[in-house]
Amino acid sequence: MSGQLGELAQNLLFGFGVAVTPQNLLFCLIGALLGTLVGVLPGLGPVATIAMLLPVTFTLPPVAALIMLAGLYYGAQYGGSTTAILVNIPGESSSVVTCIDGHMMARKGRAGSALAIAALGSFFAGCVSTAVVALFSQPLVQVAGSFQSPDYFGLLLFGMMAAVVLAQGSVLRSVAMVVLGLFLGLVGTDIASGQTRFTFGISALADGIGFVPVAMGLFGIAEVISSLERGGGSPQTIEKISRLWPTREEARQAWPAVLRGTGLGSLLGVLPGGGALISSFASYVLEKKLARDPSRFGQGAVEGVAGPESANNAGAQTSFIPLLAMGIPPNPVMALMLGAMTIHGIVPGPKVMTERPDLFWGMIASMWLGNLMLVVINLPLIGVWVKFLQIPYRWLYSVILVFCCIGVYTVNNTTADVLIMAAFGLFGYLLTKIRCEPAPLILGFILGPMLEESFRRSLIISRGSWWVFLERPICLGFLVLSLIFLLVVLLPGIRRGREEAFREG
Amino acid sequence: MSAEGHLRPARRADLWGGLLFASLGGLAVWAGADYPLGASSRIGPGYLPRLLGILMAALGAALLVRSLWTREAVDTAIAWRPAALVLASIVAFALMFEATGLVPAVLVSVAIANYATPENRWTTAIGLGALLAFFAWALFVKGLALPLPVWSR
Repeated sequence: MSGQLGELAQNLLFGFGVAVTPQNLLFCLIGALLGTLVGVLPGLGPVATIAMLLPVTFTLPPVAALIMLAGLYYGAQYGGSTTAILVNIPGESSSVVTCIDGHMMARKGRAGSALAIAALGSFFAGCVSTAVVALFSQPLVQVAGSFQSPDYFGLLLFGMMAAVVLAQGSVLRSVAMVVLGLFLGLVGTDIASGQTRFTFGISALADGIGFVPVAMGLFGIAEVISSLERGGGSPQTIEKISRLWPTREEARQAWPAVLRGTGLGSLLGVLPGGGALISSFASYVLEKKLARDPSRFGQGAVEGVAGPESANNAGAQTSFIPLLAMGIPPNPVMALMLGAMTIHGIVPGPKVMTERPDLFWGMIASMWLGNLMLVVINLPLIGVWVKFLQIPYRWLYSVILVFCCIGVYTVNNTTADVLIMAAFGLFGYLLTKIRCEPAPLILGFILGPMLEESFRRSLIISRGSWWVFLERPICLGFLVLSLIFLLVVLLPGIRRGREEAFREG
Repeated sequence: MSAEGHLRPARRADLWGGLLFASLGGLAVWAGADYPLGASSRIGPGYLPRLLGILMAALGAALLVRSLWTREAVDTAIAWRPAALVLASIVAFALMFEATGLVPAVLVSVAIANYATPENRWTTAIGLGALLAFFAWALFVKGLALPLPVWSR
């Protein structure tokens, strides 16, 4: 055990060596700044921004590129709370619940302490969850190394099931969205046989539908249309910030909530379909349940800010574990990270740690530094971000559109991808109209080809017998877990709890 | 999730979802009918698509049945103006970019997108378009040295 810890310390030291080179520090800072900006601005999320930035990363060394993109994701968790607290609009979907009590605190003249609690809670959660990533990735890599095709199949199925359970709205429609995503992932040339599938003679589809245009359409373009429909997100009144420090009483109330939020977020971030969003919702419900006087919630309860804001940052960071250790992206942001790694010729999965230790440990070390930078960026410099809040959305959306177009084009240098993005933008807008969440679709879309490959290989091993999925204990375990998840979500009691969790805000 | 009261079938979320998935599933099975299924020990390119198509159609059918008693409402109002103009501006960019280059494509797509909200005037279209065209050129072509056509090739 002590030997392992020594090795871990050595690895971390090595990682810091990578992260503190001037170039990597600079890109960590750029990522943190951009992330805060994305978080502060409503209507601009991390998925669309990372996709827009992909062309920028072409010219960078892979370590610097990934450090920047990672900083953008957790940085957005910091920035999102600022808008939620000061103008009662979630700057980021993961700060929806922060609006409730955070804005109430601001209305009561405690905006400063709400901001400080959110930032310091996030910082604490960021430090702890980075340690979780460092500690748990290595054992997971060893476990993943012993996986065979049926086990991967079971894991993927479990991942999709978890994504359905954690998605908002109807379970049945979410399952259908995953299946649709899986199907869309199979469009293009089949690797094993060379047969082109569902291309309808369109040559641009022969290589499959690209992930970037689909993600940007569903999350970027559709969001622009929806925001315009709601009359833009431009803030009406921005609350004044008085004193940037919580009182002793507030700090006493916040601490336990920060601890619980960190734990909950770290756990939920690792699950497929998990990440920042679900962690913040779950934490809010938990705090309300545990409170001696739940009626304080909605009136400016400190725990309602401290818990969810810690949880979303913890969840954002631990969602790197499945990507780095197993090569399976648990949410759309991680899928884009996978895309960025692939562009640089890195195959995510168990081998990254041994083949590119500089990338693995450098990224983990950069998370610590990035979180430290973010506290400075978000607390003393809060006034700067408030200025950005005054940019009207009627200017902003044109900027988003142009950068989405250029970003998508440069990934493969084809205008067909721009048209695919437009099509999925419309589709995504219509899907939200009929209350179908796009998140399960995108997860199925990424996992589709992996699922087919592991399915095919499993059946080759077993000479065509489906029993192979029940014979291997690891695979059987995942299948049983998936079944339990499905049953649990269909039980009336849990179901009500889940609906309640999503109805807040 | 309003369980109470009457809700016209045309506004039920499960009906729309059911129609969508049943028809997409049917389409998948129909369009994939020619792809070889292979043997189960060596599945062909048609195997998983067929399986998923049937599953999707079945889920759609289940949603259709369920729509008889579920009461979750859809929002049937479509924001035509922003939807049409946002999409038109992207399509314009896609059609123009390789023919005319970056600057004209940005100017035209911003000019179209500008009118997605009634608050914008023609001055914002020109000002914002010129600013964005310059910024995109400076960042992507000058700064990052990406091989993008600036005016036309």
